Amino acid sequence: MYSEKVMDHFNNPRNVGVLKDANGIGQVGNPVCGDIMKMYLRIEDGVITGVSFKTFGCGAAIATSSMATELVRGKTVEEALQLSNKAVAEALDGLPPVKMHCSVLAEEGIKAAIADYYKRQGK
Amino acid sequence: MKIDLLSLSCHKFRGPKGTGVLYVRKGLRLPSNMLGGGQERGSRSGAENVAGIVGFGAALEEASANIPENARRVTAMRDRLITGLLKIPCSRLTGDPLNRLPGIASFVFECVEGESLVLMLDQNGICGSSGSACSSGSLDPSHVLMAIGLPHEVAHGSLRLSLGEDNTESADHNASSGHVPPMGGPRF
Repeated sequence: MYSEKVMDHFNNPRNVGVLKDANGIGQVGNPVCGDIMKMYLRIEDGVITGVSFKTFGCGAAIATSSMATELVRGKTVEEALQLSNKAVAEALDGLPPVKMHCSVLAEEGIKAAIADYYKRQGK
Repeated sequence: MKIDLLSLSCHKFRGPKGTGVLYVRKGLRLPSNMLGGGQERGSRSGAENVAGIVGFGAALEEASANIPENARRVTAMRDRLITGLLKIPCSRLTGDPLNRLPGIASFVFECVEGESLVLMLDQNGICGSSGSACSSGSLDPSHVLMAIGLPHEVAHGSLRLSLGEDNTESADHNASSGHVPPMGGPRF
């Protein structure tokens, strides 16, 4: 069901854990659905210098959140805001149709973290 | 036992999938399930699945022989599995600890989702199933786990393991001890 890349990110997730000096944190999903993603960003001079995640969810949920953190690492905030769920899914060589919603959640998680960063900056 | 009707799913005792048995107490008359050629004494018309019938007969014969010995052996393996798995932090056995079938052990693990658990185990040569929404494709976790009062997020972390006469003790040992390293991974 899952591509090799999805299984790789599931078994070896990138950037797992709490980012201690994060200045933008976003959480999406909810326990009722069984999918929760928490994204941590450290943004300095408009660039994402640090990123991590913690996810409660299925194989696709872990893989998409892991891939999303890889896709925004080192990018500017403007570039990160362009992140699409389609790009996440493609980077993973595709997802089963029933699991596409996980990529949407990953995109929303990153954007929620960016929104939180702006909120903290008073913007 | 004064039973009027009893249904059996043959795949549950290793008979062919797609076969079942309905026991009907003598003297009870039921309406026909399907009308037509009158097969199965008029209760279910249509050519009988002879291969299936022979298969479940053989399975039933095998399953009924040595019930006490099989139950004893499988129960011992199940109990060892339960003891091993409950060493994992934030884990719980669901269902009655004593009055349960010899071959089923069902758990919930907090902060890990069921489909992830099944995937991990599968890669380690262990087959399990989960009642989480992600693994069943529905929006809700197992209605049984919800009915016993488990919160959603805990019910999503369910894992069911089944043991049978074919399981070996070394495999059982592997399953109970091997679980611990994988669980170190993706807890939320």
